[in-house]
Amino acid sequence: MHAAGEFTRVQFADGVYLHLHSIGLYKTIRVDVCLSTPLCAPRHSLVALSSRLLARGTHKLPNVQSLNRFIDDLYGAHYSVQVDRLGEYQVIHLCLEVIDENFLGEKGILARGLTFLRDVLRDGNGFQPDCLEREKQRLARQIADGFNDKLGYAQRRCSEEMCRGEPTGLSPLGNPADFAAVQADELWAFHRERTAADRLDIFVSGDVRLEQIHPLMESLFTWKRAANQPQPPPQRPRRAELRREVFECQAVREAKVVLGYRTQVAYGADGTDDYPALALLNLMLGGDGPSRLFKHLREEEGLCYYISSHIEALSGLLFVAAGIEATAYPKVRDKVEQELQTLRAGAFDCREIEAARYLVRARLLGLAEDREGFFRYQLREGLIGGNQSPETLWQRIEQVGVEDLTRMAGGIVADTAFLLHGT
Amino acid sequence: MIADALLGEGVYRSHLGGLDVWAVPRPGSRQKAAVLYIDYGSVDLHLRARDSRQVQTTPAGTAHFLEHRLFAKPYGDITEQISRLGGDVNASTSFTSTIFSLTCIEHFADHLALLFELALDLHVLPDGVAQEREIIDHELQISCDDPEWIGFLHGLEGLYQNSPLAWDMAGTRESIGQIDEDMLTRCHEVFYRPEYMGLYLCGDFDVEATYAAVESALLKYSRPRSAWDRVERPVVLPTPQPLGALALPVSRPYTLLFFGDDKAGQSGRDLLLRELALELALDIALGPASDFFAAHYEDGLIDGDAFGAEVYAEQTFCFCTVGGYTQQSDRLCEKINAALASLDERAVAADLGRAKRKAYGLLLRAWEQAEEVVDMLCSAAVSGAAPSVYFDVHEQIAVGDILDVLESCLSPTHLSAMQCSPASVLRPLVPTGRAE
Repeated sequence: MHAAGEFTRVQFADGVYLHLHSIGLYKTIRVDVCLSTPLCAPRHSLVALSSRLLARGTHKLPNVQSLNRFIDDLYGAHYSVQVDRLGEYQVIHLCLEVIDENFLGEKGILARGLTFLRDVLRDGNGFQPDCLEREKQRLARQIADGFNDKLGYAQRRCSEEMCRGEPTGLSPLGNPADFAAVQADELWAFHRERTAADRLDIFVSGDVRLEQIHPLMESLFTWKRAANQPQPPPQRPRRAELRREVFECQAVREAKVVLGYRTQVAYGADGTDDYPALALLNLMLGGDGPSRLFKHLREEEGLCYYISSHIEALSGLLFVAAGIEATAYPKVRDKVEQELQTLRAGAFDCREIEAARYLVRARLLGLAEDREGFFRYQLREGLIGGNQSPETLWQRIEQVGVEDLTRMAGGIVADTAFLLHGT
Repeated sequence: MIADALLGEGVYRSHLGGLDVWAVPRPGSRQKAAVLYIDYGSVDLHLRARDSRQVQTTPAGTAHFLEHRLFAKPYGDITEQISRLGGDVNASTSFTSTIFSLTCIEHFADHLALLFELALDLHVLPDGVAQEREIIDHELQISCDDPEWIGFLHGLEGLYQNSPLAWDMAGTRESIGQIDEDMLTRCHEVFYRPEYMGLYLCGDFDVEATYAAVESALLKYSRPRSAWDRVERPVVLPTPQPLGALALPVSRPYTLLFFGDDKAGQSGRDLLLRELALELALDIALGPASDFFAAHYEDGLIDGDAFGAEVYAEQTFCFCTVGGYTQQSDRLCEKINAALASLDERAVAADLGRAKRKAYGLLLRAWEQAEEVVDMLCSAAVSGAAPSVYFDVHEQIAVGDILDVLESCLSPTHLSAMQCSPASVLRPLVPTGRAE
């Protein structure tokens, strides 16, 4: 087997895909099951609540204790249920990582794990009124706890303000205001319908071969499916209209600023999109390592403690986030704009482009051994119907020239700025 | 030469110019990782003059300050050189160590050369020191916005009072004001010496060629011994104050229980055994499969994700934390103590099999990715053991070992509790948006 492993994608029912990464490097086998549905309100609250109930048990493992004992018994498997947002999709994500049987004196671990995941999705025992009421409270608390991570909180608030009315502005955790009206039996019917209609992606990574896993998958993950999966409404990159600034006062010492931009770039499936140029531009602006923002605002001007930028590929958004003194806010905002202005004018240094390319290259070629990163990459490809390998994406990034970067920078427009500051 | 074998992989060990080097070569793997460990952390405050034996106390936060300052080279930040090669580098300072960690895919020898330059080639200039002081002061300010961290430090104060174990690794605004170029240079000379360092490597590389590269890097930065020596770290035993309380900017109450180990001061196999015994005891009493967890997850006393236990076992101190977010701090303390007290020989024996199966899986997983492997090599070496000892103690651990830690660490007389409650105004205010 090639060191980076082999990647195969197989459709085995309507809207059900197996993504297999056969790689001999690991001592575990990781399985990610993703049920993806277009993100919209107030349905997003139902999806979020059902994800919480899935974690409560199955008919075979009817309570939290029996479920946790089962997981421990699989040699302390790692198991989690999360709900996430990826572009315009809300994704229920089950993750299970079990020890490869080659390292144990015991067989059947993977089959037990996969059966369990199927039961969680289809044979949940948690959709009962009392469980639901408790999970409503827990989820509401989890949402409130988001405030404890101040930068994460500022980031979410910026997206929310900037993308009001768009799926991107919704939290995958739902809206606590919707919870009261939700009934257990309705939620169960809703969830059953979702498992029949929504796109289902199953990722398996480890020392596993297709002929070994395919029959198991077919016997476990095939139930009556709807012929067509719901798609998010076709999306055109929205233009920034009015520049807005939103200020919020809380008991914090360090102010956090998040500046939101629209890029007019949509990550595409056909390999003709501008994502490669945008990815490179973002790294130069504020990616990891020595970026322009870090050098100029942090090191030279001392305007912030840390500063970085990131892009949301599927939504065409770019964010700059920094920890600052509240009084420095206008200056930080203007300096970031000034940096973008320099980029729009095409003032690039070859060495800086080279350094960003190296970073991207290391990251993309390293994906084969970065399970979480590889899984996220392939899920994104799957959701947009693309089939671009990290190597292909790297080749496209290699082709990006100064004129592409200048064009990209020209399309970046400031939208909403969010400042969280102390009293 | 091969010193150990683990899960079918060879573990190599060598001493190069006094430096302890552990390596796990992995042919065919792309990811390469290295950890350079310095046996110098925030509790190491004292230096002794070699001639007069006079002891000097250095300001709190010096180790952390030095770690920051080492990134500055005459040509700029060394991170830039490393990213140009495609690598990532990180550094952190703990109570007892300074760690520089590296991951990369290509040019391993060049990366290692930069890693040594990073740690061993110090350039301090007065304006650099002033600038760093501002940065760290700010870092200290931000950490005040992190309630879990503040609660953690206050809990340690309850357990150890005036020991540097209860102080922020970064120091205080006052202490960092006293750190100057001379102090940094002196501490660098004393602590950053091959005999106080360790190098841990994993990935697809040629062991001999890598050793040669390491030796030449060491030679390049070799220096005469300083006129000062480090002072051996004392073993710190807990003197717990039962209860502390704090008001912090949190969304809801946060309670953490600290259990200090009376038998701290062990090393090698004994230390790893103790660490595992504590982990198993906590898992049996309070873990996700326990009766405690089942009962109090249902009645809302704890939240699954926001409740947990952690073991901190080193050669000179040992303590555990248990807790998380809860609405009822007092009741949580009471129930945790009750669950620990209820563990007798029969209860431990009945559940040890499950807990050990789980622990075995966790152990295997810590030997998976190159980054994890170097961390595990480093923890084992710092404890004074070979990595395979983790597996040996797992196999040998028995009911008696669990009962022992329950008595000498996980009991009410070793406990200091920290309750953090929300400070005044915390509800998100109505946004005051305006258009420009």
